[in-house]
Amino acid sequence: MRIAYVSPLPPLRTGIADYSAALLPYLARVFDRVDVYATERSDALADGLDVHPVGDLPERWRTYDLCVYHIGNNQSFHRSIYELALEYPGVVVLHDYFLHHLLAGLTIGSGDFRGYLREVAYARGAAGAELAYEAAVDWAHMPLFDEPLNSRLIDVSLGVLVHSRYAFRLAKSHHPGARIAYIPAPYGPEMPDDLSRDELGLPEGALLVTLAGMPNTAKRTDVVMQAIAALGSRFPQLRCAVIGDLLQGLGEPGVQDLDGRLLEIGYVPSLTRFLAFLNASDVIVNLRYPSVGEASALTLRAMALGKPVVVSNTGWYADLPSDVCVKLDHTFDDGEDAGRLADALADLLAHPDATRLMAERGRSYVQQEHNSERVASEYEAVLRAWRGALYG
Amino acid sequence: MNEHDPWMIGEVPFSSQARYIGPLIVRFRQIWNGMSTRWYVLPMIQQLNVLLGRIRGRFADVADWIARVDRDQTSLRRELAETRLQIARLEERLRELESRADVGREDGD
Repeated sequence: MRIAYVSPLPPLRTGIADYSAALLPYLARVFDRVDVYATERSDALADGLDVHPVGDLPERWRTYDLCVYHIGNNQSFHRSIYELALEYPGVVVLHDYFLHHLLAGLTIGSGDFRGYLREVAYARGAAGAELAYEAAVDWAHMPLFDEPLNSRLIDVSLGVLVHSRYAFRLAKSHHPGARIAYIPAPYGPEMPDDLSRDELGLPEGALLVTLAGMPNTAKRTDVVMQAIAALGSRFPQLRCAVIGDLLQGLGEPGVQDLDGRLLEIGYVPSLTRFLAFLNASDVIVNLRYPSVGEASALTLRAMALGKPVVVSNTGWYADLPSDVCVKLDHTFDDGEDAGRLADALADLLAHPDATRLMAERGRSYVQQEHNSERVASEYEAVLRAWRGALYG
Repeated sequence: MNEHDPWMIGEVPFSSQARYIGPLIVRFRQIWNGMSTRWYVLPMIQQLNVLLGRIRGRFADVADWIARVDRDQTSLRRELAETRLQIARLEERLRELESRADVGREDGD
C-alpha cells in the first residue's frame, strides 16, 4: 500500500512535526511505500523516507492509494496542507478537532470576510451566516470554541483520524456517516539529556513545578501563578519554572506575587534539553480550558519520564485514566481554580510516595497506549480497511 | 433598532440632558408626539417590521440554500476523488495484465 504523508516536520516548532517524526519510521515499516510531503525541508527523518515539497503532490496524488493530511490550527504550517486536503481528498488527521482558529486565519486573516461567512454558513446554514455577521461587528463574538468549522474538511475527506476519544465522540455525533477512527498519538521513545539541575541552572533542593509551551490563554498560566503564590508560605522552597514563551503578554498580578519564585527558562530549541528540564522537575502542570480536542505532547512526555502531571479535566485530558495523573475540573472562577490547583500541588508535594506511584502508572500508560509501533500498526489496520472499502 | 432583535425597529424613548426642566421637556414631547405623530408613525413601524421580518426570512432561505449547494458540491468533490483514485488503480491493473499478456505471448513465441 502506497501512502503520501503530508505534514509539517521538525525543526518546525509544532507538536504535529514531532508527532510525525515519532511515527514515520514505524509507518515506513508497515506500508510498501511512504512518501513524505512537507511544508519545509527537513533532515530530521529516519533514512529511507523521501521528503518532497507539498507543491509536488498534485501531479502525483493519483499514484498513491491514500494521501494522509495532518491538520492543526496554526495557519503558517497548515494553510497549504488544508488547501491540498480539499482539492485532492484523502485521509485527514485532525490534531485539533476545532479548526475555527485555522479557518478564521485563512479567511478573515487575509481580509476575506466572505470566505469566513461561507464556512460558518456551510456548518450552520442561515444561523451560521448570522453568527458570522455578529462576529464581524465584534470579533470577541467569534464562536472559536462553539463551532468547530471542520465540516467541509470532514465531508470531503475519504476518512478522518483523531487521536482523542473526545474528538472521536464529537466527530461521530456531528458526522455519523463519515469514516472516522481513533488512533492514540504516538510517543517517542525520547531520551532527555543527562544533565543535573545545577547544569541546567536550576536550584538544587527546590520543589520545582514546571509549565511549558507557547502563549495561549487556554493554558491558564494566570491560574497557575496564583496557585504557586498561594503555596509560597507553606512550601518556601517551591519554585515555578516556565519553559517557552508562556508568560508573554501575561500582566496579571499573579506574576508579581511570586516574589522570586518564578524561574523563566525561555524557549529551549533542543528537544533532549527540553526533556532534561521536565526530568529535573517535581511536578508538571498542563492546564487547558477551553480545549480544541487536541492531545498534549507535553503531557505524554512528562508522563513518559515518570513525572506527576496535573491537567484539566476536559477534552483529551479528561479521557486519561484517573489514576495516572491529577485531573482538575474547570469551575469558571479563576480564584476557585487556583485554590483547587494549590490543594492538588500541596497534596502531591506532601505525599511523595503516592505521587511516585501515580507517576509510575503514568509512565506505563504512555508506554502501552502511545507506543509508536503500536500506533503505526493501528494506522495500517485502519488505512487498509478504508482502502478496501474504497477499491474493493 | 431593537436591542433584543437587531432586525426590528422600535420607538426610541425621549430623553433630555437639561437640568431641572429635562423631565418637563420629555413629558411635553411625549404628549405632543402622542397627539401629532404616534398614530401615524406606529403603524408604519409595524409595516416596516413585517417587511424586515420577510427580508430576514428570505435571507435565511438563501443562506440555507447556498449552504446546501455548497455541501452537495463538497460531497460530489469527494465522490469525484474516489472515482479518480479507482480509475487510477484500474489503469494500473490493466497495465499489469497487459504486461503479463505480453510476457505470455513472448513465451508462446
